[in-house]
Amino acid sequence: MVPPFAYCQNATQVVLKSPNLLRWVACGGVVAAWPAFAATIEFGVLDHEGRGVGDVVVVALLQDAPAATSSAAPRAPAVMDQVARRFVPYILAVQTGTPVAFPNSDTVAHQVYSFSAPKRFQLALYRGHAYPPLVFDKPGLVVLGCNIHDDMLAYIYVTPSPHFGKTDTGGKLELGALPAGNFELRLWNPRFNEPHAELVRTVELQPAQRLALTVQLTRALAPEPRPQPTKAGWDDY
Amino acid sequence: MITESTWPTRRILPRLVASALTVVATTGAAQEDRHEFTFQFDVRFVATDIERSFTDGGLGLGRFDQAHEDLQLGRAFLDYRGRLAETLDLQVTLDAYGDADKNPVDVSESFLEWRPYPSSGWRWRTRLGAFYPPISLENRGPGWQSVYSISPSAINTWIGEEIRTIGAEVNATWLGTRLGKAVDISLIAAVYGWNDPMGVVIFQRGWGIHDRQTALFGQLP
Repeated sequence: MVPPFAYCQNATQVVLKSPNLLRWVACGGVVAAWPAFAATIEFGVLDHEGRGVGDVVVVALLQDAPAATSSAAPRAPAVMDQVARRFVPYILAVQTGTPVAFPNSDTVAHQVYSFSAPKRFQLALYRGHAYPPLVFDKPGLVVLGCNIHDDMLAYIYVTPSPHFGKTDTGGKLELGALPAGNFELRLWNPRFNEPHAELVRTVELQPAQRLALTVQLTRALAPEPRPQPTKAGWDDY
Repeated sequence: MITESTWPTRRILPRLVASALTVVATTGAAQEDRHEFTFQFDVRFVATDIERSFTDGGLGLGRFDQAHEDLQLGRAFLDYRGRLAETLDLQVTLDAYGDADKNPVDVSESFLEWRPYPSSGWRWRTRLGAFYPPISLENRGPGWQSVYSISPSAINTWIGEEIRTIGAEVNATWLGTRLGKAVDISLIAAVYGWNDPMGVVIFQRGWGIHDRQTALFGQLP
């Protein structure tokens, strides 16, 4: 059932303890990239039929890391735009404490809200006004909506780790610049239908190791929760 | 009392032909953040075998009869949506059909809508005024027009003719899609008055297929 692992054929293949809900295939190899000691994980996320799954948030949490200092340097702001009555990007992953700007690129007003516990807010975005970014200072999942346009839906995934990313449309992601150590890996996408929406595994990374991981889901993805876009101005109900 | 001769099987076809021959349809939308205007008009080339339309006091099921062949105004309407406050909207639709209505320009919908931000999985919306009930996904264009064809379905034609909520409506929506579920669920209740008994038009004339909405203050012969 597990398709051949395409991009680490020469590496040692290790099958991690496989929970019955998904298969993790890992193959690790030390890359002779002296003197780079940073480790890298190449992710591949496949659906139950072996196709790549994009927009999957992948987070690597260093387990024995010192507690994050609250006086960290200010983070560069991220952007959650509104374009043609959709949130862009659909899924945004940020580190805890990151300010997120909400520019409105549409000619119509939006009223962005969230009632998710990590960040509750209401933000009316009228054209021609600049609004200061909101700081997302608690980890967790923030679901966004628009009080005017019901079909607008987006997610901000707030993680304490600086090591995170999103898979591309082919389901691939490379997380580089990882220090050696024990990592907890978490995968999230709103369409995951596995018993646990957030898939968690642990791996140990050696200095300069290059680890390739493929995750194959065992269940079909749930339907897209974001309603299909409607023609502008044609959505009274 | 629906007699054989008024049943629409034979009459629908010319109506559809007339719809297909619509010659001009123009939408002008002047959009500003807090005030949004939509103006739209269309002109139709009419060819029909309906003898006397209900718009002329007859029993014909379509809007246009043989006395109205050639170019006719389909509809001209101005739709305004304004934001009076952050969560308070005003919406007014003015209509002109160019037929024998008592008022050449009239109001088809006019209401205030209060839509506070949801602070939990439930969202509340309240409308006050005269408006269509949220009855289908068909007539959801500006001016309550069908988004699929010029003439809506028979049941929406009837709603446009006879049904309007004049009163208050409360809509409570459970936002399942914001809570990791697949669907939202809405419950809607309304208190209304000033309505004529529904079904009179169907009783007298039968189901019609047309886009002539009844105005709030208008009257046809």
